[in-house]
Amino acid sequence: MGYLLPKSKLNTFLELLMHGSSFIAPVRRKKDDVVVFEELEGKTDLTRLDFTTNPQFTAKKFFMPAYEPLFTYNMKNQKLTDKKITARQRILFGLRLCDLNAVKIQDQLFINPQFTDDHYQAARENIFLVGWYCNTPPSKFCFCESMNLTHYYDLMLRDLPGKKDIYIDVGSPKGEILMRKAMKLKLKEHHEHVPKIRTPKKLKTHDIRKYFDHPKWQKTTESKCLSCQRCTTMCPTCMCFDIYDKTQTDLEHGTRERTWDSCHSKQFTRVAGDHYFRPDRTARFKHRIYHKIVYYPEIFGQVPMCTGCGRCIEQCPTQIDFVELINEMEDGK
Amino acid sequence: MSCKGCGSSCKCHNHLQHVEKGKVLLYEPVKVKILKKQKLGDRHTLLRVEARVDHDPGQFFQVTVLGFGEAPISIASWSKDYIDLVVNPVGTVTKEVIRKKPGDYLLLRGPFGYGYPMHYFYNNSLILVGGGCGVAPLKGVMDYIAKHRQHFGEIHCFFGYRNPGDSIFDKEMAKWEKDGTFTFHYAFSHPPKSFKGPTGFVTKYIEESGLSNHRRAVMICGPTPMMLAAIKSLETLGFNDDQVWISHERHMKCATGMCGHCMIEGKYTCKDGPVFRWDWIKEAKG
Ligand code: SF4
Ligand code: SF4
Ligand code: FES
Repeated sequence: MGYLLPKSKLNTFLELLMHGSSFIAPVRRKKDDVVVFEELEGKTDLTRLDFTTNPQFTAKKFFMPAYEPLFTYNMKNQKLTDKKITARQRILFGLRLCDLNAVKIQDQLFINPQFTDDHYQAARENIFLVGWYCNTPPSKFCFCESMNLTHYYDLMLRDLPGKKDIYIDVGSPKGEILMRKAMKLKLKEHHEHVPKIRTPKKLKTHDIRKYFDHPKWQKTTESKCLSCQRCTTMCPTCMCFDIYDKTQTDLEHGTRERTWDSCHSKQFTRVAGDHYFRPDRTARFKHRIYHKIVYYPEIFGQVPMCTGCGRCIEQCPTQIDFVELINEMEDGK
Repeated sequence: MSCKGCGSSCKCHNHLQHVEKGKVLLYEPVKVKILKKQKLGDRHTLLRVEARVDHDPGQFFQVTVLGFGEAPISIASWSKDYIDLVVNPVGTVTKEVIRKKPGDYLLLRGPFGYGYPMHYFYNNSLILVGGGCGVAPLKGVMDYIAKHRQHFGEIHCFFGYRNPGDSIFDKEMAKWEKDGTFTFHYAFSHPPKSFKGPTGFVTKYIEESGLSNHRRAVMICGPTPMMLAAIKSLETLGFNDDQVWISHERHMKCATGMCGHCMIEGKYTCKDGPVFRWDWIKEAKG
C-alpha cells in the first residue's frame, strides 16, 4: 500500500504531519555545518532540511537520551521520590533505511518477552518513523547492501528518480494513522516495490569467527585505536549504558541516571578488585565488531547488529576501517 | 506464587518487583526489611531479608544503597520466607550495605539470572567446590539439598579459604557434617603458622579424593583462577566438561541483558548466567 505525493507538495505534506507533535528531521546546523537530527521549531524551519548526506549523529538520543533520569530519591529516608516517565509524541522524519533498521535492533533488545525497559518503551511507543529512501548512497562509506536490511518503518518516502512524484510506502498500521493527518491532500493510491539499495562498499563475509585470532586485528588496532569511543557514540545500534547515582550537594536529594557507555572504555568491564576482563584495545575493538556481526545474530536471529551506515568508519579519527580489515582477512592478504 | 503485576505465573515474572508490589518499573528497587544481621568469619556479613519470592540457588539480587549505587549480591539460602545475602565489603556499595541494622530497609531488584538447575541433578551424586566468598551461593544449593536430601546421592563439598578466619557458615556446616548430610573437605591456603588443619589448595584434595565421574555433577563457585584450577584437577579424575557447572562474575549494571556490561562473548552473565555449564562457556574469548 502506498500513495503518490507530487514533489511540489512535499512541504505541505510535512506541515500537515508536523501539526500537533514534535517533528524531528535532518537539518544542517549553522554553527558547525554538520547535518544532525533536530526538532523543528515551526514551518519556516522546513527550508533548513538537508538530504545531501546522512546525518552525522543518529537519532538514538530520541529513544534513549545521553543522560536519562530513571528516578529521583531521598537519601535521608532512603525513599524513591519521583519515578514518572514522560514521553512526548514525536515524528522522526528522514531516517535512512540503516537507521530504521537500527530501531528494529533496539526494539528487539529493549522490548523482549523477559524484560521490558519502561523508559525505552514509553519513548518508542510515542515515536512515528518516517523514512527517506536513498536513491544513491549518501556516503562512500555506506555498506548496507551486505547487512540484510529489512523494511521497518511506518512511512517511507522515496523521491522517484525522473518523475514528478514522491512515493510514500506505508509500512505499518501506525503509518496508516499518520497518513490520516494528510487526508485533505487527497493523495492518489499507488503501489510499487521499494528496491534494494546498492552501495559502493561491501562486507564480504559475516562468518568471521574463524578470524578471531587473526594477527591483523592486533596489528591494526593496538597501535591505531585511541579508545576515544567516537565510533560507539555515532553508531545507531550501540545502546550500552551505565547506571549511577548522582547526589546533590545537600547530600540528601539525588537522581539515579543512566548514560551511554562504550565497550571501548577500559572501565566497562571492571569488577571489584580492579580486575578488567578486556584490558587491551584490540580485545575491546574486537568485542564491538564481534558483538555486531557474530554474537548478536546468534542471540536474536539472522540480522547482524550493524546496519552498514558507515559512521564508525567515517568518524574514526585514525581511520580504522573494520570492513576493509575483514575483507582483507577474507581475501587472505 | 503468581504475579500480581500482569496475572501471569511464568517464571520470568517471578520477580520481587511483580510479586510484592504489582507493576514496578524495571529499574526501580523494592523495599524489604532486614530481619537479621550476623558476622560470618572475619570478613563477611550475612543479611537476612524478608522477601517471599521463588528463586533458584545461584541467582542474585541487585542491592541498592541510594546515593551509592547498585551491586549484585548472590543468594545464600533457599527458603520460602526469607533471603540470605552474604556481603563481602570490597566496593563502595557493599561497604555501605553492611552498615544497615536489623529492622532497617534494604532496596532490592531481582532475583535475576539463571541459577543452578537443581531438578537436572536429581538422582545424581554431587560435588560442590567453593572458594572464598564463592561458598555463599553454594550455601543456597546446600539449603536446597538439605530440604530434598532423598533425591540426591552422596555429596562431597570441597571448600577452600585463604585462612581459617575467612570461612563462613561454620555452624551450619558443622551440623550438616555431624548428621552426615554432606561430606566436607576443607583447605586453607594461607593459614597462620600455628594452624594445624588441612592446608594447601582445594585442587589437592579433589585429586586425592579419587572420585569417579559416574553419575556425578560438579558445581564450582569462586575466583576465576581457582575455578580453572579445579576444573583441571577434575579432568584428571575423568570428569567431562558437561558435568561441570560454574558461576561467573562480571561487571553488572542493568541485570536484564540490556546494558551490555556483563557480556562474555555472546552470552549475558546477568541473564544467561551467572551459572553456566562449562562446555557452554569454555571456548569464550572475552
Ligand atoms: S573511533 Fe576509532 S579510534 Fe576511536 S574508539 Fe572507535 S575505533 Fe578506536
Ligand atoms: S557499526 Fe558502524 S557501520 Fe555498523 S551501524 Fe554502527 S556505526 Fe554504522
Ligand atoms: S548487567 Fe546489563 S547486560 Fe548484563
